[in-house]
Amino acid sequence: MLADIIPPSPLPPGTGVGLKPQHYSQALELVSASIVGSDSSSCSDSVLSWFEVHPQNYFGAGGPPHRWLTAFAERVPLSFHSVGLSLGSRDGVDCDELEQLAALCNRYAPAMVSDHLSWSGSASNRYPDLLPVPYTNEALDHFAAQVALVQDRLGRTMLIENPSRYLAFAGDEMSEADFLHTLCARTGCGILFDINNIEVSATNLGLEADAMIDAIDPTLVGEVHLAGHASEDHPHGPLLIDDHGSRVSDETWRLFERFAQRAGARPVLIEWDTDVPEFDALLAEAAIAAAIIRRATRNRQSVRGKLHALA
Amino acid sequence: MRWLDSGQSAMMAALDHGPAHMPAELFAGSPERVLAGMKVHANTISHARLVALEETFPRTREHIGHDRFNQHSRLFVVQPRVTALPLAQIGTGFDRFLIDEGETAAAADLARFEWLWLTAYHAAEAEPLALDVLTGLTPDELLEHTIMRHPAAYASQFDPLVHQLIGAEVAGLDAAEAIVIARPQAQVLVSPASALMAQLLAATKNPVTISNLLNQPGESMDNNEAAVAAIMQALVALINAGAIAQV
Repeated sequence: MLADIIPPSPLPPGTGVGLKPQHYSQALELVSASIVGSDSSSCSDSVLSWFEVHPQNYFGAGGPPHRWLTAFAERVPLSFHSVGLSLGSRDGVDCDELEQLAALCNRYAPAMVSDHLSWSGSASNRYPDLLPVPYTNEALDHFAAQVALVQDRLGRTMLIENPSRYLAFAGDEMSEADFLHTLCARTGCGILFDINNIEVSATNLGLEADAMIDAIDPTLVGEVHLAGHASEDHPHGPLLIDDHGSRVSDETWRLFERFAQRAGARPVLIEWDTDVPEFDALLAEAAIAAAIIRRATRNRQSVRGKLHALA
Repeated sequence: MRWLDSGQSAMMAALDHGPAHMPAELFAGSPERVLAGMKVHANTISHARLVALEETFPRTREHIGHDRFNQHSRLFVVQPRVTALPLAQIGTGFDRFLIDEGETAAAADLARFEWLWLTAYHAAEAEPLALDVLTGLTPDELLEHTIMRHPAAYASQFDPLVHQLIGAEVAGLDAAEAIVIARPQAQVLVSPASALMAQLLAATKNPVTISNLLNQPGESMDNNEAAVAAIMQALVALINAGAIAQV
């Protein structure tokens, strides 16, 4: 099925990369050059249309990180991808994190805000990790209440990212897609669809990656993530680790193309957080993603044309 | 097992205390596979905390050696107070912990210097006071002029080792009584300072008139002409170091 409804997304339906301090200068030069002579606020002539940051890296009151972020915010749309709200924690969302995120949103007015379908410990034991949530009605009720709380505080809707999973819960009552779809229906949030996480979870838990891709309603997807992962061989089978430390795998590219054929153009991010390479390597990955989007868009137009001719 | 009532607690117990605390009925799949999955999470948590400490204290790590630094770090990051901190704040109190672990005062002071440097790097912005503002004032106006420590400025006396190590990059630091760390604009500046400068900066934590600054209680100097000149000279040096803010 081709998605007929494009979800409203203030991010342009092109490619972005995660913004890293070591790339500040080169990235700003690129976007500054791209908007010269353009009437657009996005760097439309570049392979990059937007940037993403972890807001937690900008929770300090001032300093060089804010000077750089201000310069980018004046030129390109930003997406704030939070890693610290801990929406699934029993104690509820981390209120300190939420207040700091709200202040940062007021300061920079990002085009998009997102966090994860996960939890990160408790107030007295904050884990710098994204732990899995069981797909039960109990967890869904709790998670939806927390998403609603965050959206009320921020005065905007947010996206929730599907997790990379290493563990499956014995008591799961629904699929990941059903959990996310119901969450969206209840709260009005959207999905940040991480295709690498699909490959990681499917491999680690013995699930069908194609089926997981096809199960997601593309009209709910406001942003796509692509990243690399590490792999460990074990007697009990391969274990993929979502470390964002290498190029996007061939399988993830294939899964992305499968999704793009159905969903059309979406804002797509190249994530690379460990062993960060030269900026050009990120641009090369973004160019591959852009080519896939163009190919998928052409194919969709071709199919639509044929359907129109038959009608 | 209900997730919110007991599932999360059981998972946290396994992450904090090891496989013996693994909740057998919580996860699907073979025990080997569940153990491998839990290890990924435990390693991610530990690795992120240790890397955050390494990146916060690179000079301290180099000074005491990677193995000892790693040994201290592994103990530090599981302290109850530390596990409650976000990664950006995880270095809080690491200098005192090093002392408790038997490291030298010099190593701990190097950690304290690095923590202050990072704190200045991320501190709030403020317009630094320019000397020109003061030179245009009449004597009476000068005395009533209010000043304040820049929010990104610190001054302290440090162990000689800190002066020696940082002094390799900053002229005059090796022989100085104290060190000023300030970020008046984009860059963190490190400058040599006198003990009086450190004392004055501490006295300007809250807004204070120059008149009151000249009459600080506890001054070793009487309020004579020489003392006033010494204080004004120290104040000018702090202003030049970018350590005083406009009020």
